[in-house]
Amino acid sequence: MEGLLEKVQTAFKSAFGIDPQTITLDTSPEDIPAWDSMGHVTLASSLEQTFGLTFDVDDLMEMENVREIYRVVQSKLDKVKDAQHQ
Amino acid sequence: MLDLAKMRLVHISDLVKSTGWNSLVKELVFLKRTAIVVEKDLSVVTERSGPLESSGLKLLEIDNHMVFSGGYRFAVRHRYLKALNYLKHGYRGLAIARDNVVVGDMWYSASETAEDPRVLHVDLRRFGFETWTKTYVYTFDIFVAASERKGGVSAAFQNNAMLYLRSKGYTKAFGFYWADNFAAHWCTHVTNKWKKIRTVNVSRFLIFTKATLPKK
Repeated sequence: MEGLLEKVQTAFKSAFGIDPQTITLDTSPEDIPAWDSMGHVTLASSLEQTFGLTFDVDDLMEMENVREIYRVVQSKLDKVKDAQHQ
Repeated sequence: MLDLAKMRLVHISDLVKSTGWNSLVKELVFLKRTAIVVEKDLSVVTERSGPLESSGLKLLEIDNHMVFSGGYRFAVRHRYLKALNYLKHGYRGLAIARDNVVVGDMWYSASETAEDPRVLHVDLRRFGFETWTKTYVYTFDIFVAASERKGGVSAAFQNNAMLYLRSKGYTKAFGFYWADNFAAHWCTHVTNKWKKIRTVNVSRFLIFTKATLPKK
């Protein structure tokens, strides 16, 4: 989906106040000190607001890096789209 | 024995004050709680001191001199008593401190003197370790004061402690965290990339603990 990474970057900026351009698919928590367990909850909240989605605990556990966040968000957006078409 | 009882009472008091009675009950009585046993190849640990430096924290070794000289005090009361108890049992510790106040500590069982993991630490017997080498180290009971749990301090502490252990000649570290402890999962597995090697179901009733290993 076009623009999805940019939206993820925006969520990171909102959660951690960092330059969104530093966020790539290869970014992981060891690259961002503030992305600890508490920071992850803040980030999830920011992603929920950005995409209009809701995450459960399993989603939070899966989203261990930006690549996984991208995959989980895309999967949830696809499900929303499928539901709208039915 | 009296020291141990005092340590337990202070621990209970601190726990109830900080997180309430529910967490105390959860700590003392549980059935089939899942422990994730993990390992870390110390050759791949990289320097990451930023969070400790920006928080004004330094890593230091805990030994009898450090504890008894009066040069340092522990921010959390029961951690001081735990330190006394662990040192008495021959375990070694590392701390993070600011202005001579210890705000975090973790412990390890050195294996220079034993190659049977079951005598090194009770956890190793519970978790089914049968072989060991002298360059392995078992790490346990990492703690960071609640006021310091921000900005990646816990993960940086664990990471820098592993660098310290590598500098002492250890090649691989082992440990465990509870599967329901999301903060520990995040710090150990996600941020510091410790590898999961097995899960063990543990049941506890007060001082009695039983671990059930997965079937081979």
